[in-house]
Amino acid sequence: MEELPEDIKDLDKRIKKFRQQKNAEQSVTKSQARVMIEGMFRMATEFVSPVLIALCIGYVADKYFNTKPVIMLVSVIFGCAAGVLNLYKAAQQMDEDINKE
Amino acid sequence: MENPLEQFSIKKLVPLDFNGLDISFTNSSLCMLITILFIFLTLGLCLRKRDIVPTTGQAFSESIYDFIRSLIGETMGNDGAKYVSLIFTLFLFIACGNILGLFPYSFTFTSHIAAVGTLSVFFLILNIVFGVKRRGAGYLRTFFPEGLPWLMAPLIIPVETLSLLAKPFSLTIRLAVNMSVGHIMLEVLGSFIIAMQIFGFIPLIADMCIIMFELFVALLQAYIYTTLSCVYLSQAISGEE
Repeated sequence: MEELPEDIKDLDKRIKKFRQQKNAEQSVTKSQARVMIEGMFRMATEFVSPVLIALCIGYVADKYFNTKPVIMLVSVIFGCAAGVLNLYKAAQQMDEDINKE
Repeated sequence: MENPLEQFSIKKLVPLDFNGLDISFTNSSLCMLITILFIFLTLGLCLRKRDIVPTTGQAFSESIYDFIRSLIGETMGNDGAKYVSLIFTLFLFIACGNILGLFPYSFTFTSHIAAVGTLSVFFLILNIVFGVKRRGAGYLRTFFPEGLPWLMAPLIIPVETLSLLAKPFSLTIRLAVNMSVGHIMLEVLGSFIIAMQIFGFIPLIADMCIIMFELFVALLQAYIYTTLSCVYLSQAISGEE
């Protein structure tokens, strides 16, 4: 294959460098917006949903085994723990996303 | 004043019964069908003439596809390439369903927990299937992360199980509540237009602003749902929490 002239190689290098810079700039702004929007909508439901799921499971289990309200109380405690865990994971992920930038 | 929740009531269009199970064709099913037809027809028309130099329609559909690809790239990295078609379909279905729900005499099926919940549960099952396929028995590590003492198992396993089950629930609640609230506000303000007689233009202007805002919310909620589905899928296949 024919060797490319030096000036073409130089131009190619500069184009590649410019593209890399542009991509890096775009990805930063995109992930900043994503982290912000995600955080806004995510945190609100992330804690509540495991508690509600636990409440439903506990209620049905109590009805089935006739143990009102023991299983529901225990499952709500687990639900709260799961909610806190979810919040922690979501916050950790947001932190990672921000640090990536 | 008309009941603002009446717009969410399910009406049977074609009553069907299967062994005592109600599988009637409802207004919600009709709207889902219209959404799917709308997506097929729009994409079909836009991509009718595929060329290297794209037409406006082709550029429009390609820009949505590129947007989803970049979203998957950001959340899942190179692993996500396989799931582009799945996520693309999910995004289009929810976004078009949300937007079509804004039209008069239409029905917002995304405001129904049953409809969105089924979609979310289906996605959770897919997550588990993809996770097991990719990681095999290692997927069970989701319920008991590596490095924890075995004594913690009775506490951690129920907590992690609840955390996994809560994912589709949180996706569902977020979308359904956001869509219903906007529509209720529109209906309530709409009823004020006539009730306030000469000053009816005040709620009319507010209603117009809310419709614009709802259009933004419709797309934003579809984006949030898709992003979080990508995040959950990424967690399932990579095992990183």
